[in-house]
Amino acid sequence: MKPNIAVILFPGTNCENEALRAVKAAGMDGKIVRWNSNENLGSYDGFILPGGWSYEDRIRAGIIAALDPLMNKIKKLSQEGKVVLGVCNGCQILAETGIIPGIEDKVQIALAPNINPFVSGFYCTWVNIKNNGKKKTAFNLKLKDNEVIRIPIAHGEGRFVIKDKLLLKELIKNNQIIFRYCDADGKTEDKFPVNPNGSVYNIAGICNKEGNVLAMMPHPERASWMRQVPGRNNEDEKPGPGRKIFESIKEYLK
Amino acid sequence: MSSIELFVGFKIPDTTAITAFHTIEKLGYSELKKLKREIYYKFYITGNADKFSKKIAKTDILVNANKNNYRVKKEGEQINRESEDLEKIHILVKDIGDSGVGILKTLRERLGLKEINKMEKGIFWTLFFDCGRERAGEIAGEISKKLLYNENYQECRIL
Repeated sequence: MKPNIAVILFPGTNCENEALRAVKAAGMDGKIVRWNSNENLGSYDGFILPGGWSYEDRIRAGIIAALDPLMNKIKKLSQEGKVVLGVCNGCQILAETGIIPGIEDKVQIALAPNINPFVSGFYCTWVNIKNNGKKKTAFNLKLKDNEVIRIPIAHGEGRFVIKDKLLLKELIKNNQIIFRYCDADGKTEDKFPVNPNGSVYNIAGICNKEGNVLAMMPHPERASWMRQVPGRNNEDEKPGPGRKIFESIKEYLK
Repeated sequence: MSSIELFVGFKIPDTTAITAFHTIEKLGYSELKKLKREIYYKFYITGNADKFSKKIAKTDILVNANKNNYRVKKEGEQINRESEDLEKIHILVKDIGDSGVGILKTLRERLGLKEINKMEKGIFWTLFFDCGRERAGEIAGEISKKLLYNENYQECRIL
């Protein structure tokens, strides 16, 4: 039986269809589930919090959705081992709930406005991220250690900020920083454009200690087919670099 | 060098403030009866503060006459705490390290407001509570932490 994934839709989410297509392309089943439905979330194997502007980013990105009762249910299910992937706005929501990094039961990180020498606010481009290796999680089983993948970003508030320096050290020690911005050769220079938003330690994605929840700013669902990758558009239906993240979820849930 | 503060409010319904109010209600703080949001600017200027206040409010960049209203607070003036029967608490939230560089550049270079030396930017919340001042202060602290700011990149002052 195929794993069954719920793609969560909050008011203002706008990447739910792409996320569901990527889930199905990786060989899983899935369904878009509205934030206010009474569905039994426990019947799903995993959840995707897709990108967009939930609640119009009012007050700050992700905070209103983070306080929605639905996120308490997802938090509980994640603690029971269900897979949760938060992409872009979903990443911001996971950070604002404290599910990521999840070391303590409180908000420990933030996705702050980008720092970019040329563009203020929203920034959209293709970047490289690398699988930081060392830790096998639900999201990188199909990636080689230090494998570089090309993937798009599209956000105004994607700069990972961790006020507590000891926490950053702990996340590095725990191998929770599984994706980092890098150049095409995998070098993680902390400089624009390699680091496109000024994230501390070039962080592109952080998982929880158990490796079943990931918050990442880049959009793997927008790189699920080669035809989506600039310069490779003639390769039509071949799997794109982002597909491996969804295939990893499938592998993990086998 | 003197300073003036500009508070830009909304003539039209402020959807962010409405969402904040409903979220706070859902968090269980029934003592909150009203909430107002204003965009906050503080300018450090050389020259005449009165003349500058008139000029700055007329720049369409900060105040859009169709949807915004504004008020100016000069250095030394006190915050107005009067409020019918309700207890009023002010909260100022600012992004750490955000000195409004982009706006400052536009104001100085495009609009010729060379008297501005530096500026600060933030969100100024006014919360109206139906309870005593001490309890109102306590709730304001809790609401700030849960909803209005993320301490990893923002700072918050309850005034």
